[in-house]
Amino acid sequence: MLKKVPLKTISKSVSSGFSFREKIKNDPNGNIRVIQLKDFENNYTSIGEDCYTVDGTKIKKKYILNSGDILFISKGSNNYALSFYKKDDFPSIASSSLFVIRVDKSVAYPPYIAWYINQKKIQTYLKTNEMGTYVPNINKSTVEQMPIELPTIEKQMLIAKIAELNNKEQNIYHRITELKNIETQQQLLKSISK
Amino acid sequence: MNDIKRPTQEQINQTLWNACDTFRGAFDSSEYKNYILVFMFIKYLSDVWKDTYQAYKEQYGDNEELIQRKLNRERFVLPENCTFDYLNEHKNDSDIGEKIDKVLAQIEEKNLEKLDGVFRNISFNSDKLGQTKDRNRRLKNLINDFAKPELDFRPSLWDDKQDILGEAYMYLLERFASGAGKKGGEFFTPKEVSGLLAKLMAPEEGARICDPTCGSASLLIKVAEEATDKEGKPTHNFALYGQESNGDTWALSKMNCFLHGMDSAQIEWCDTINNPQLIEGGSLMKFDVVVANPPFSLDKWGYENAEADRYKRFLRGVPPKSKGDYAFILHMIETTLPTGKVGVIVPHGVLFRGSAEGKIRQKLIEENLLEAVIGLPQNLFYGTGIPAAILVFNKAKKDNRVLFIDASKDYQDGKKQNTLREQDIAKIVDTYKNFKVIDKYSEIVEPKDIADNDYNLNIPRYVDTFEDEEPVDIAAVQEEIDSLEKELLDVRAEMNGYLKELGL
Repeated sequence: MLKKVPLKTISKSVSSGFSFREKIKNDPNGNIRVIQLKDFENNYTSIGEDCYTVDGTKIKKKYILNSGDILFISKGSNNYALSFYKKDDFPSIASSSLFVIRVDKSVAYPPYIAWYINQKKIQTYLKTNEMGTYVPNINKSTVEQMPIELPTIEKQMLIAKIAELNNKEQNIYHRITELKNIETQQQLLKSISK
Repeated sequence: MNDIKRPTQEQINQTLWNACDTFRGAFDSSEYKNYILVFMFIKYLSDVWKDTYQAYKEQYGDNEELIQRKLNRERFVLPENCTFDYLNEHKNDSDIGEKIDKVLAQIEEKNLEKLDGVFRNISFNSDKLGQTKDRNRRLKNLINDFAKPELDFRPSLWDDKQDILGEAYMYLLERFASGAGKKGGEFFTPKEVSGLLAKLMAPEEGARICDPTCGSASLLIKVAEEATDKEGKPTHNFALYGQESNGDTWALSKMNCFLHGMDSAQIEWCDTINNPQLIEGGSLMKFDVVVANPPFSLDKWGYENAEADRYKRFLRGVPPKSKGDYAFILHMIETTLPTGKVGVIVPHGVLFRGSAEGKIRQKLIEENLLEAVIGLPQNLFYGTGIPAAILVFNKAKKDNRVLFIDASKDYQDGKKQNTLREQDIAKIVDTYKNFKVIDKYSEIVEPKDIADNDYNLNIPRYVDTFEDEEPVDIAAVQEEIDSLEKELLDVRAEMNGYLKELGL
């Protein structure tokens, strides 16, 4: 059996997202993109296009996300993770309801870690460690102590790839069902006047 | 004195709201709001008093006798030792509650004409405020809060900008209303809605304005503020009348009018339907503008006495026992001059309910009184999510058609409550004033069409707001499905390859 290692030991850093003092307001002229809970789409597997932008002059460089950073939702009851990748040169930061986990890429492949966090084993671990009265919350040390099973990097890549394809399959299914529904309803409506 | 930095409206509002903390927990907001608002009024009276005294002192020097004589002719007269400063000096006394009550009684006594009954229902020495020790602590806190510089209401500090105070009073009312849940609607109409109604009514110079269910008089004041002279400039030439059935709320309305400088408003305390108090020469007083936000579908509104009503308000029919909406509408129409207008906020049921209400509605339309039906967005009011409508009746209507406006889709989404934005209000007012037809928004309807609809005024019957469904191109949909199915096969094949690689 593969030995489990705490997430901390394979990470360069685990840090909270940028904490805004006030409510985050969209500023169309902003120069930095903020990823919030609301931007998680497709069952928490991708980041949507409608992220808010804000003025970033007061935000330190270290908050800016790189491809391969794992975003982990620490607030609320859906504690999922995804591996962030930069789709353009516009800088992005995470809001404070997220943790940003930077893994050591020589031993861990970020999409694999994100996938692993989303599996039952870790989810159960998180549920038993959550805190908070109204809004469940996962604290930093819980994140750092997540027990991760770490196969070889090649195997990790393979698993992540299959998981991604599986996801894609689901999305296509979903879209087909939706379209079939539209098509059938339309044909039925047409049949009335025939 | 002008170099003192004046607190902003927000700061004043906030300080006042914080002062309420004193009472929070001890009892319910519906109770303590009266204490706060009365105290604010006393503070206002005594600050004005202090200011006037100062002004006379500068003018007449040490001639105390002359000053006193002048002071006695002021708007409000405060007897000796009846100022806030006096209370502030005695805030540590063990009988402070009693002292405040005495001050209230003396002020009322001295200004009987204006303040008769206003402090009747309130006692600062009541056990409601806790046992003696608790009560004294609370009252001391209250006095301390009102002694803060932010709550210095001396007119000289404000360049006589009294509206700031009125605003603050309205702000508190609104906060209390929004916190009071279902009961909140009882004494306050959201300011955007009353502002809209006021603009629709647009009273002229010299108008007699009445609200037969005036609550805290905020709607009445809003309408008065919209009064303009012939050149379109704001005017103070109007007469205000109101009636309110809840004694506590009635007192709030009196103070509200005074704080807005509308001292001559005549506001009576009694039930409008069963005991109208605005009477002139034995019959109902008539007005140029009658507005109201009557209680929605009031049960037990006084059905028993309606048939034999001595003012003959229900000749068009007696509304059902359990729904008083039309009782208020009929009262309003009966108290309007032949040239006057009525603006009333009603629940949607009023537009389409049948039987007795249907017959009354038919008569009102046949008499050509109904001018406009305006549907409002849902969730605008306190304590109820239901959408409401505004009915405008015009006794001097020239045209026999009715304007329908569906404004239900234009609003600002709010967490607890929706609000009308400035542009939404402007659009409604503009459409109404110009009797405009706007696609998917408003329609002018012939009386015949209303008759064809059995006098049902349900707005969607007249204003078509349905968006056309986008035509679906079945061929394109089928094409997308085909290509997706192909993609699905590819994905599966790719996945199988990787799964094999993984040895599964």
